[in-house]
Amino acid sequence: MGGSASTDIMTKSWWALWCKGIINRGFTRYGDFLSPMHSAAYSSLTVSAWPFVMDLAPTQWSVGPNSGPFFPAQYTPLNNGSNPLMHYVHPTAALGYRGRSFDIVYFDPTGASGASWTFNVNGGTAQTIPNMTGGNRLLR
Amino acid sequence: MSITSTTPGWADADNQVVIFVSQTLAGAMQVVGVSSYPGSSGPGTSGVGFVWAAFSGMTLYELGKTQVGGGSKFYKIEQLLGPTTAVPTVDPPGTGWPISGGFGFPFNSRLMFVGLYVDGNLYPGTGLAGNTTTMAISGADPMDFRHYLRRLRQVNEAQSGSLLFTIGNVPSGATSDVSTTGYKSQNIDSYIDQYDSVARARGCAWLSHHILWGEKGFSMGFQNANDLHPNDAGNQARANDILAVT
Repeated sequence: MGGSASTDIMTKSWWALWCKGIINRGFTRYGDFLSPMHSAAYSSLTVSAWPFVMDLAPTQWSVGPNSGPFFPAQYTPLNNGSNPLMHYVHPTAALGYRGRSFDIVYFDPTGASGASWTFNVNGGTAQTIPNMTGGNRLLR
Repeated sequence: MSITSTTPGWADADNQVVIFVSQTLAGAMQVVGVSSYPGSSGPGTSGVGFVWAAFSGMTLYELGKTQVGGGSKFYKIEQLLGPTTAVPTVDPPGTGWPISGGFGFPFNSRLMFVGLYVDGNLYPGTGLAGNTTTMAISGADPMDFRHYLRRLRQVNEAQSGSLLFTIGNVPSGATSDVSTTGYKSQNIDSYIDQYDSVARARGCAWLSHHILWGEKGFSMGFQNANDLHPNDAGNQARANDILAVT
């Protein structure tokens, strides 16, 4: 129902068309939230631009309130981070605006304390997220 | 974690890339999604925000699953609806669970469209997903479905917000001009009843293409003969109808 039988779910689904329609009335754009499910690794649909790319195949899609990718092992990329776990490319053309700021919404699972993960923006300095604090909660 | 113009690597450019690089332990990195904003210092205070949380037709399947670490997906939605400082300890939450709506975007908007679509609903029991012969799926109990529709509305209500349930069309397959092979479409009405029930009890609205298209989605040109998902014309029609009431 969400546009998976349209020829491009990112631009021709009813929600993309509604959003375009309401913006055309003159409303300002607050932003968008996109799930990692919007990737070729999860869906076989052909679209103009999937925002997420799984660089390493997740073993499960079952974390968080909607399905997110689960990577099963400690992972340190080779080649100075050029082969990461996954990445997000802001779909400027599909959404109709240049993404200039972002929030990463993530789940802090119950588990071993002291674990962490890292990300960077456009290959910049790595940012470390301390995780597994026992909080079992969503954060950003 | 927020990324703004002061974050190393940031650029005022199209197609900026957020790269999720490493984790020190299995499952340490569990990204639910990325919010993007047109301003360089984070979100503004108002405007149209859109949440692409999942493939909506899969939502019941997703919500019916037990997630890694235990607890249902609904439990995590409940967590999003509560304040970020609280930790739920029971599943489903007890009567003392707050509904302050503290998390903010991508939840807790003043105007919410909720379309937890039910094209793959398979409760009770399990069946095979429509697009594969190997993936057994099971949907959520309709009463659980109702409970969380109500909770979404309660949070929205507490913020003096408005909510529209957008209900998709699931033809019967038996008398419709659209095949629904692979789906237990006979169960659809029990879920739609829950939208109606919550809308009446909680003062919100619904727009049903299940009524507007009914058993004739193919002859109307909005669904293909072998797929209950709307085609391009169907998606455009749905967008137009929803725009007409917003």
